[in-house]
Amino acid sequence: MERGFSLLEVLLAVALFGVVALLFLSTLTLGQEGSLVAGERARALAIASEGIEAVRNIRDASFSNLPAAGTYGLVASSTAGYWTFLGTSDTTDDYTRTVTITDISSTIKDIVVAVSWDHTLGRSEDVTLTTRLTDWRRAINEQVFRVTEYVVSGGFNGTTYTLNLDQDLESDYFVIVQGADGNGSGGGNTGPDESYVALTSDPFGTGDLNVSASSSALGFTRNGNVNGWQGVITVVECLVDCTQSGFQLHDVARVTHLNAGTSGTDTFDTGWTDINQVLLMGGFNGSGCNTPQTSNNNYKVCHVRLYPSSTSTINWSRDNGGASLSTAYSTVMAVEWGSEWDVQRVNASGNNGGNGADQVGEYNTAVISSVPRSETWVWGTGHTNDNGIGDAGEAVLVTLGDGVATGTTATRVAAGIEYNNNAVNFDVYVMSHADLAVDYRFKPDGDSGSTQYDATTNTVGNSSARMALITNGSNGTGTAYPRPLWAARYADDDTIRATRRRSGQDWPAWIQGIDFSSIEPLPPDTTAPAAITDLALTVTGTSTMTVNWTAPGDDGTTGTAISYDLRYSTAPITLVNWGAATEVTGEPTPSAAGANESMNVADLTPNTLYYFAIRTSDEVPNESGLSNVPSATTDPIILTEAEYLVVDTSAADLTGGNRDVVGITLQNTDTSGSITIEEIIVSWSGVPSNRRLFRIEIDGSLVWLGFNTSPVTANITDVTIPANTTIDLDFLEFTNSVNNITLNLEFVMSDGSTKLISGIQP
Amino acid sequence: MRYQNPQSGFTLLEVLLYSLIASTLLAGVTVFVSMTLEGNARQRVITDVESEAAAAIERITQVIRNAEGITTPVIGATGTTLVLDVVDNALDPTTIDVSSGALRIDEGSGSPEALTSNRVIASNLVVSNLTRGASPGTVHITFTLEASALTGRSTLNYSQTFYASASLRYD
Repeated sequence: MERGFSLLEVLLAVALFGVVALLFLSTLTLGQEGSLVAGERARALAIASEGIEAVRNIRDASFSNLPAAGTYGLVASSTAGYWTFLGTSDTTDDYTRTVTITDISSTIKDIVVAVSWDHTLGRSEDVTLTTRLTDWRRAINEQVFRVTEYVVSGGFNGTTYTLNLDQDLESDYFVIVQGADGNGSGGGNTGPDESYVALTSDPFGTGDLNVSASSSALGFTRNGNVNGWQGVITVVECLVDCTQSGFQLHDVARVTHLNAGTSGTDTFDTGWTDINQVLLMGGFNGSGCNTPQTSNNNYKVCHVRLYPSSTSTINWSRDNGGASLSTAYSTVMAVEWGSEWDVQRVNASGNNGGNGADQVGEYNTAVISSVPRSETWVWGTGHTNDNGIGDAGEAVLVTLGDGVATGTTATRVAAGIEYNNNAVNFDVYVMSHADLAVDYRFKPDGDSGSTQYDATTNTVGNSSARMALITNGSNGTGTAYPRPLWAARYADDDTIRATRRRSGQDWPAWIQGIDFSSIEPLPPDTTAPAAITDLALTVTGTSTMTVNWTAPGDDGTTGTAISYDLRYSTAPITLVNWGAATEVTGEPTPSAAGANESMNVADLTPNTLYYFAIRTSDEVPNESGLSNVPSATTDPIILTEAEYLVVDTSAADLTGGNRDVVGITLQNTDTSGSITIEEIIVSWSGVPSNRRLFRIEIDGSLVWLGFNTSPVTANITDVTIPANTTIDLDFLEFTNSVNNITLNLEFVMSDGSTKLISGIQP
Repeated sequence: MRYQNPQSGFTLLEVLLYSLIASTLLAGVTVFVSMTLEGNARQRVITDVESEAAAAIERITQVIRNAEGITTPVIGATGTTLVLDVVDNALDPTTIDVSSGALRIDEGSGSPEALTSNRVIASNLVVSNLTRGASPGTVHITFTLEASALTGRSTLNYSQTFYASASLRYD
């Protein structure tokens, strides 16, 4: 028997269906839930990474902006316009963000950004991002200077010498030559003149120098080669930031000191920008000097005093000391110290001197502005009025201070002589920098038998940024040469070793240990020039304008920027379409802030509205914002009426028994104004010659009636041709046939301009 | 007497009962199917908004990080368009803005490229230049993405405000 479903079965089926449906539905809901959670998580991640980026930017401005270890919130301050830390957390929509900073070291911090939110009530979610920020901008002892002291003790036997450097030479450098050849058969009894050494070539062929053998070679020359030259060649290079913390080599001149000459001038091809920062490194104790002088009586041919004047002039002098001076050639390097350096130059002259050079009265001094002794080095160039080295002539002790005192500051420089009271004439250059470390040591008189002397100095940290200099006196007699020529260099971190070619004669000395290693480049310039606000246009023609503005500075409105970028466009210029605007070439080089600048712009389209804008860049380059955007319209091209008139004679013909010239048209090409013909001068040639012009009709009107032979000045009824219109010169009627004549028409317009159409052969 | 009929049919009551059961079942199935479709559509909407936003944020922050500088808005200012000075001159300037409901990026002189599709509507782009002095620059961006209302049904409305920040790496 068939039975229907029992109620139980039905309920069971419904329940089963319900369970299955519930499963599906919950899957769906859960999936949707998953999407929502994923979305929330994505947004939370964006907020967390925003936190990381914000902290990164705070770090980028300065690592010191990061606060001490702890938990912070972030806020984009609307007043300050940048991210700052605030409170212990911050909330965006439903997301709460905390930034936890942990110190790893003084220059490293861990940043943990956690973002949490309530997905549903009581169900909290969170995401966490971690990064590690370092103080990467911290300068890690970046060196401005590289100093290398090369000891030459053998190998320089001829008249030329190639010094192979440890590395390629930088273009900003200078050389100091210290040393001697024990010239003469007597083991050093004769003068050193012909053994003086000069720098004569470098890798760049700078100035008057030749080009050396390689990018790491310097070439030196001397004129005599009796014995091998011994000494120290110090090469000082600027690696970075040469305009501020270092120095620039502008040019090198080979200065000729003519035979018997005691003073003169020479010029550099490339001058300096600030004479107060210039050091002329030259002469026998600088970048060298060479001379063919061989006499054993003159030892001072290369003893020159050097000082700059004007923008590129080298002034030199030397003293003949009662004996003739032969020709000599000095290598003079124009070194301009950076803006961080305080450079002074004074002349120390007089005839103070004395045995031991250990009394104030034995020095000739000159006053300078007070400088810290430990931050200042000195270099002197000059001469005395006697026979030169050995006669205590050039053996001049140059030092900072009064020659004896070694206080922390100094207000003078001193040039003293051992033994003789000869007149000293020295120019002393004084170079100070806050991060320079100089150790001055006085070496007392004595040690006549030594060829080597070690002075203990302060320890120097960096062996590639230090140099030693020595200036000494000498107990001179007529046969002492070249014993006073000492050369100094660092033997190790706290020892300066001075050596000489020949022993004999007592000597006092001042020794400088000069340590450049703490001089670091200045932080990069991040300040852009200010935007120009007074750009102004003056229309000067149909295709030209003059642009005027006031120079901004390198940093905002101070200093001198490097370049301008002037552009124009027929649309208003903004930073967005700046790239599409037309660049003007040949902008002037910026003058100092506040100066008036001007430039003529040509090749513009007539009668066109142009917008101009300018930006300024500094040396980095940081580019300024956009200037104001003035606009002006170039002048329209204004033509004379005659220039608008086009006479078409291509269809000129004869009718009326060949007496009427027809088919000429007159066109006004001006699109805006009418033109008026007041007069037509008609002339013709050809047989028969007695024909006469009778009538002229233009555009349907008789405009002239007469009876004239050629030439005819037909003062016609004024014919006005409207803009952009062509009318017919209906006919010129003659009394006879004008077959085979040549006709000339000159149109005189109402503005006085004329148009001549000749050679019409109808 | 007992009434017997071997071919017994349904009584009216039974018919009504069965109809009731059948219609209840049908109604249940219908609701179930419509909920499934509705849920599917809603999920699609959520996914569209979230994933397009994620992709756009990724692209925008990437471009900012690689830029040389921020041209507009200027430091401390807020605007509706971001103009970047990027390393590659051919892509200068790179502009990010909202136009006709789409987030767009315009690199150089080419035509703008949409970062979002027509399935979502972008609006309320706010760009803040939060650069601190002497730092390479940082930009904060917020924008709203809303699913295009295909049917006008309120249940398919899904709108979110997104936040992104990026600091320039170029220095």
